[in-house]
Amino acid sequence: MNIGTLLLTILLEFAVYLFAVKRPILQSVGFVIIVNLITQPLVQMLFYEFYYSTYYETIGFFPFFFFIELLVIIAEMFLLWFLLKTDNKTALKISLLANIFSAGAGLLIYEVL
Amino acid sequence: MSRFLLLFLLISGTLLPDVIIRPREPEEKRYFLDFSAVDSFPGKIFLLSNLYREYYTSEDQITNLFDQRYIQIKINSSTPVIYVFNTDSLYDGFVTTGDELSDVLTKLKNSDISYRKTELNLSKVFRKKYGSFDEVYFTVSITLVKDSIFLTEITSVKIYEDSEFIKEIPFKPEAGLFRAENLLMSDVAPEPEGLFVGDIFYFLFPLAGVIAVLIIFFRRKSTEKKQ
Repeated sequence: MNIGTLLLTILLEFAVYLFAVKRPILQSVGFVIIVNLITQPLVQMLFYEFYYSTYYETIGFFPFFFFIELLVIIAEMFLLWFLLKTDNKTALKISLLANIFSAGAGLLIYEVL
Repeated sequence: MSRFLLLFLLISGTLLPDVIIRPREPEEKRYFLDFSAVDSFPGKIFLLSNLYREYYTSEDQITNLFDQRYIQIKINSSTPVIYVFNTDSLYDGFVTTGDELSDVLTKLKNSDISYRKTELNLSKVFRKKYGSFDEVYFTVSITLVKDSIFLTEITSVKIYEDSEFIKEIPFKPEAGLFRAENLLMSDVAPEPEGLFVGDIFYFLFPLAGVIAVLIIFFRRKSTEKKQ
């Protein structure tokens, strides 16, 4: 498993949680870690098991990437809804923001490096 | 203010660790080759040859398509020819071994022998293109059916690495077509046994996350009860 990607995602999403989650910083740290500990390994597993296989030629990167991101956004929405004891709309907003930011920044960093 | 400071630290932190984002150098490599008959016309067979590369880092196993090309085999003709060319440039720079084969066939004709098997060296075609394999030989069986009519078929594939013979793989035609066959060349680099150390985290991390969620859930419940 790529621990680096996990750490990077936690860091990036924490940047969003800092402003979007109206909780003490330590609690936000805890939440972002819990959420990503659950979703990130599963995302990576999906990528390595399916994407880096013969599907590589047929599916292509972006359709697969967007599909996975969509699943992650939905999963994280439910987790945030429970953890923050908030309504679905707010949970979805935070999940959407965090994942757009982490996915966008992640892609950008990957391209730059 | 402290949140902005943290954000600044986060941004700097994410840009620094080049090391943690970049995949490590492959530790082990393995190639496997597969052939599939994609089409068959009278006197011609089109094969799709895929070479997959599988490599391992300490954490991941990655498989990707390394090389793909079409092989066209003209059979039942007076001049059996094998063409090998890339999928994206079908006629540009294809390699024909027709001249080499013609020499062999001339010798065959002159030898007055009605049935002969010969080996065709296609190493030039595959050299460098096939990763660490510097030589890949297709054993081609050429049968003289009638006067100046030859029947050509691939019967096996021989793999060499650093001029050392590694493996010969049978290549059996089935119902007029070449059977799609996975040619796993595990001799080249043995498949590591057991789980990778990093694999355990695929299960440990989500488990830890779920346990944390459950702890939060039960703590909230007990707090509610106390109240």
